[in-house]
Amino acid sequence: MKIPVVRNILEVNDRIADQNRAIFESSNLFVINLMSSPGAGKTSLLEKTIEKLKDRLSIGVIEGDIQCSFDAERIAKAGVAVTQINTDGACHLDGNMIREAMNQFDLSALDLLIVENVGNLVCPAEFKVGENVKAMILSVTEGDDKPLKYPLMFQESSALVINKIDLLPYVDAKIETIRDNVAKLNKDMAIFEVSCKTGEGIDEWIAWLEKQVDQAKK
Amino acid sequence: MHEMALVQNIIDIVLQEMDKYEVEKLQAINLAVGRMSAAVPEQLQMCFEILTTDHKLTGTKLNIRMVPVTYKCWECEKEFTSAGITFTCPFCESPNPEIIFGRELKIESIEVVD
Repeated sequence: MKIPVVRNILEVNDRIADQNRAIFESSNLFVINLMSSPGAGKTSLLEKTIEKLKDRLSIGVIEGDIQCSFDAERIAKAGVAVTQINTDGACHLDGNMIREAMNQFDLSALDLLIVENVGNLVCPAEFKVGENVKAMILSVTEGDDKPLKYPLMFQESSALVINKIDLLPYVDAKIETIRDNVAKLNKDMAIFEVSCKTGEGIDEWIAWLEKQVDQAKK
Repeated sequence: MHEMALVQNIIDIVLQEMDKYEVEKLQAINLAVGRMSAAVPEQLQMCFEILTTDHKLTGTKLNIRMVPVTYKCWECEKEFTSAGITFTCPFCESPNPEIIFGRELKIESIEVVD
């Protein structure tokens, strides 16, 4: 005998993420979920972002890593509130992990909460954490074919930071190819070309982020 | 490898449903998995086997129906399916058709031993 069920496998995570969202909204807080493969520059982008914005916005960071707290130590040095989640092997953050971590902050005192996800171009795309927007980083050393190889991540994210553009002379990846491939998957994606090393292009990313925070506050 | 987390969710939901219908043993669980989701069927099977060792669901079959990607063209509004990703409508050649199916991760039904 067959019994119809028709339930979404991710329903529990989606429900917790929606509850997180409601809590963030009641605190008037903008939340961004930052994703990329390992080594693309998530923490470096955060350091630059914090440096530019910390006088104007009150920022909190949730660091997700499988092990260790190197990233959280880097962020703490940058001078903002930070909490480390160690997933002990899990390849992504989920709504429940964020629920526990967010209680470490005085949410009403924050304007912007940045969630740095576990480095991975696949799994984090399936798990909402309660964010306003997802953003991702692709570094030019990873190659310009990545949007087509990992389409879900590029479809789910609202913004793409192309990092390490200072290395373009030394790699085969072309910015135009990345842009063309992204346009096929997500024509509304905001794209920023930056080098966290030299600081080039960071201001455009900062302007976009600030605008998102302002719009959410209205 | 987030399949372990997905399978844990599947088991939680199925156990709830078994309670609801007062069922002790299941023959099969039927899933629908979109080709555009990030789940790999072989890994779901492996994780299911691991997580149901010495378990109420030991021996229950996990049937996975892969859902092809269905697109709808913005321009001519025709629908079509594709085995992989496509970026043009095969009818009018407009770019970037919308994905309407192929992202699902769903439990469709459970089968009780008669």
